Amino acid sequence: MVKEAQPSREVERRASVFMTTIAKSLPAPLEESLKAKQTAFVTLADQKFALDQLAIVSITDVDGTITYVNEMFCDISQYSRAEVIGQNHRILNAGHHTKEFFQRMYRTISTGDVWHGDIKNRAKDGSTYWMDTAIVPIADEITGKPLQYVAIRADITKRKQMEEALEQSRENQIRFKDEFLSHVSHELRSPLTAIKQFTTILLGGFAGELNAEQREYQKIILRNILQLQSMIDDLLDITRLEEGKLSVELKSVSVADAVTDAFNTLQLSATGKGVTLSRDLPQDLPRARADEMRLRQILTILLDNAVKFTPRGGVVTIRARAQEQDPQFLVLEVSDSGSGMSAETVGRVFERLYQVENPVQYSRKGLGLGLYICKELVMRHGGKIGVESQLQKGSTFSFTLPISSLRDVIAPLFINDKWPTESLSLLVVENRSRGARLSPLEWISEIRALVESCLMPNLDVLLPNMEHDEKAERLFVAAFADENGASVLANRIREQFERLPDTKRAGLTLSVSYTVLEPVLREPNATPEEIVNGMATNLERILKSQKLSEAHHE
Amino acid sequence: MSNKKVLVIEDDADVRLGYHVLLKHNHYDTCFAADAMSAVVEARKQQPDLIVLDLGLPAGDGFVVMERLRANLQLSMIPIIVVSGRDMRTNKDRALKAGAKAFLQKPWNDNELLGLVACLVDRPSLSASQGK
Repeated sequence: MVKEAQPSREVERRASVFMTTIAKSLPAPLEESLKAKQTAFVTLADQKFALDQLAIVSITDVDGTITYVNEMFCDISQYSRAEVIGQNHRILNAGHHTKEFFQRMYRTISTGDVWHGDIKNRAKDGSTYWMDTAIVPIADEITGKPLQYVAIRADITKRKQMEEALEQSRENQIRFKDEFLSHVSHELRSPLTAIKQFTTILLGGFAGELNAEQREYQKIILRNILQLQSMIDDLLDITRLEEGKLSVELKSVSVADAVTDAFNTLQLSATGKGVTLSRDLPQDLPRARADEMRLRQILTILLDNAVKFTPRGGVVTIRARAQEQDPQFLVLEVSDSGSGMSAETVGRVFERLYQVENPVQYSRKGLGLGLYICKELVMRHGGKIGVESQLQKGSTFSFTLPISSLRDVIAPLFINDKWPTESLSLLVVENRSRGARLSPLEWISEIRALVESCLMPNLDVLLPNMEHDEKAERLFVAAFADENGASVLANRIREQFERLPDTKRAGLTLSVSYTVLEPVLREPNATPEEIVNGMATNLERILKSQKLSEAHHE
Repeated sequence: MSNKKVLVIEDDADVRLGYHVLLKHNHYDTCFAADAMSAVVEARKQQPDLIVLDLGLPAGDGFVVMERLRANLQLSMIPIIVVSGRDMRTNKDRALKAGAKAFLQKPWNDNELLGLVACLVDRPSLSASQGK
């Protein structure tokens, strides 16, 4: 049908007149058939006329050569008919879309399917315009292969411009909101500082003794100040989250210490409410790879919530243990004997701004950000957070944290962009003993295996075990350099070792640059785990001092 | 024995008064500066035993003050506690690197501040523990 739309309207009219003439001289059945065809022709011509008033139409052959364009096409593209007929359709390409975009389009139409999408085109004077485009392949009736493509388009340039402007203003608004929130939170701290100062001055009796009632009221003021302070901190955290600036600084952290800290922070308010806090931590709890301050924050939020939703006489317990399913992770749990949550609440409790009615006591709802911040923080540690709850029985919030291992600490050293990549660098891991040999051989190989697993293949060189003398036991040497440097480095080091006996005889020390790890062992009975932990701490310190000196240079 | 002297560099008048009351009651003498310019002048004039420094100040900021203090051999020996409402995560390391002995986030805990002050004025030569 569309295929027959090729002739111009005038031609179609003539064809129609011609058929009318012929029909008059034909017998009745034939005349009827021709009449039908004639009606079809007229309808088609009218439809095409209507289409031309609204749409930008062009036809190309299978190679993309333009064979027909309508008036509106010429208007918008600024090309005359004579200029574009016979040209490839590519002359309209504005260079906005990817190659893959056009490949997908051709794949669609060459298989006989209609393609529909928005295309940015370029006019003769270089200006661009957006077309809502449908490309209809016209197939050969017998072979089914496309003979030509009819493109019908509508000008959507204005809409696209408005969309872009809207998007831009939305981004500006978000940025403005973030900057505003951040500014406001900082500015709120100043008056809050003064309020807190003078409240503590009054409570401290520096302006005369308070009577019991006055003291009580001042304490209420102070409690509210602290609440406001933590809300401001939450607001700042949220702004950082949205700006993508909320980062965690992962280190080897004692979970027991963090738990004790959060525990002590909440002890007072729990006791005041008649809620018992208890903790259950195994003696041999491994260290976590976490941001110490953020871990305390997570625990404090969870404990604070648990206390808030637990009635007088209830118990809040915090537990930590290595995860059974995945030995790389620790699980921390905060459970309460509180009011519990419905299934619907459980599903939404980590959402931003979601707030739960507290049936235990009337309390302010807060900002509804605590658990959301918790979730984001846990995710940034590479862990997971979840909750199980039963109405009237209580809830258990649990989250996982990766266990700190030597590999985690050493790996960044080897992929750190701080290390000079052009120059040849060495890391000598040295175990210094004051006269005594410290680590049994099997431990050395264990630590060596750990380091080996951190190396970058083809880039780092792990040397054979080095010897030890009465002052130091060098466990291994790892080298990192750029791709070309690796083999050069390996040779250099080999040379150094060949020269070692001569060097020693000459009373010289090894002349390669290295970073020494300070004594790992002080106790002769240290276990391999303790050695590993000690080394991790040392490496961390080196990494940190590198970071600090780098920050200083900026 | 005469009281130790603390120079408080803080642009908020209320907060300055708060410092004054708290420190006076804990037997310290106080003197004040409200901007980065007068901070160094006051430090030179008063020769305090300790400086409590805000970061956001008119006419420069706390880091400018620290830089100027460091440039003077005698003033560079005075221990500094930075107390700021600015983000601790981005400013603490920078402040310690610039020569501060400790960083406290506003609003601070009085006991923590007094502990640090006591520790730093009594043994200024000792590099004190870093505040939280």
